[in-house]
Amino acid sequence: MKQKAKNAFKHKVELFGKTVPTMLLIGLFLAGSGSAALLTTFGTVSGTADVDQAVTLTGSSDYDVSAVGGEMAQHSFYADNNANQTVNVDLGTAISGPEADSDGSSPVEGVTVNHIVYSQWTYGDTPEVNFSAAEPLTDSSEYSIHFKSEGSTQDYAVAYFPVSDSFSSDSQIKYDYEAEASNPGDDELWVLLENGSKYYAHGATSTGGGEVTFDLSDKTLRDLSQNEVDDSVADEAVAIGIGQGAPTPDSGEYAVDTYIDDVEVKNSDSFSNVDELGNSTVPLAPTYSDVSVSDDMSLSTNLGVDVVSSFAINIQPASDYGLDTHVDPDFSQEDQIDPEA
Amino acid sequence: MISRKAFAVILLGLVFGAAGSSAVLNSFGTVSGTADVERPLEIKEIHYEEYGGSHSGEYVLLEARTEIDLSEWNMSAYEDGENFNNVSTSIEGKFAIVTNISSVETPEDISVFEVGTIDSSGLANSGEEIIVEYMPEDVFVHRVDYSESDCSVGEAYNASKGDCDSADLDGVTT
Repeated sequence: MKQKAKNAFKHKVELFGKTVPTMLLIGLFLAGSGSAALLTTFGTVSGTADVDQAVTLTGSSDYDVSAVGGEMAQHSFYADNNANQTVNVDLGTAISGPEADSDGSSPVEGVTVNHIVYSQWTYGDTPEVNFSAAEPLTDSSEYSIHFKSEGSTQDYAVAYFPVSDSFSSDSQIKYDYEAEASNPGDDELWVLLENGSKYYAHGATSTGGGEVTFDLSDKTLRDLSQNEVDDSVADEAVAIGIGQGAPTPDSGEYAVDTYIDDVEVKNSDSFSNVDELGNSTVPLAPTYSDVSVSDDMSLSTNLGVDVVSSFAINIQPASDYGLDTHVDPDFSQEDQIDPEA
Repeated sequence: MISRKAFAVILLGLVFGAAGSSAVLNSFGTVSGTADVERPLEIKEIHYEEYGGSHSGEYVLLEARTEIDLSEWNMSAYEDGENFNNVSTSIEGKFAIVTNISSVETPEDISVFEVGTIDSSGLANSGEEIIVEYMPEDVFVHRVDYSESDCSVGEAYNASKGDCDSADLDGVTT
């Protein structure tokens, strides 16, 4: 066997008409193998990404309320949009309750939940404008939106309502209005775009009888720096807001104490209600932090979410009604990925 | 041929790989609440008492838990399914007394104290039903079935317990 191997190494191979020793071929092969030490990469740059959640919830995540049939309960928390664009969220509340009545009706049918999204803008050290749901002004609604501040303040609050794609620069908005203080009720209308931009316009018109109308077609929209913008930006609106400021009072106990109800938007020929929101997709604008609006005013905002639970007057009494409000990504939005897909 | 050990390693890898993909959030968070909900107006007790020195009857103790206009409320007493009497009342405050339901025609006939009573002395001694109804929505808010055979004179029927208990009308003049 050994002799066979020795003979193999001594054997000569004919290559291109020349005889080449086998040992030389093996040597060349080994030398070629050495060329595998050539670089496969010119280098690697390693990075780590610290990614914040696009929308974070702050405030109490657990709460208990006591209520009486025919009344409402309210809980507020904040949904802060940490992205630099509007993020659509699927906002909904799952209701659970006691066992069904003896007649088979479900007690949870006596519970309805609406959600209000709003901003509170602080100004200096003055008291805040408190924002809450209250008894409805009209029989056709579940609740009204109550803006109230105590004492002199220049704070400001805006309640937002999602609007359909058909909202445009020609749209009309109307709402019922009741003022308990000196505020005349002609504050601003706000338009929120999907990219987070906000624009406002003055000039709501009180038609008497507590109704206010706002025809966007003859108003001037401005950005937060008070520069005029083309009204066509309203065609991209994902939400409208009704703002209530609190000017220094001329008289009375409160600078602002107003109720707004039955907010309707006219698209094409008919008005549709936008302020009674159940489970719905809600656009959350980016959270402003110390945005300079004018030389003497800066805005810092939190995006508040109010969960307004209404209990039917004949609701089955129980201590274990559950109200679980979820804030989920809206996976129909183009840049949000559905993990289930 | 893949050995069992190799198969197990591959399976674990697939599991961990799938788990990694769920790092995409399904939810930004949940806010959980519980609600303790009570009736706005409730029948607390039905008192079976001597009335007028000559006959006995029922007095209904009501509790209102909210400041609401009760002019739209109706209290009714039924006997064996037949409406014995009913009255539209206006009650302000926490409790009210309704004396002698058969004589009440206007809210002024109702005295407001700390408890409410309905005199059902005209009822027979069985199969009574006391109902509190909210008229605008035509719904029953509270309904209590009661029979005088449940209690003796001087006792009170506790609606929540469903049996007779000691009376709780201290300090009330009917």
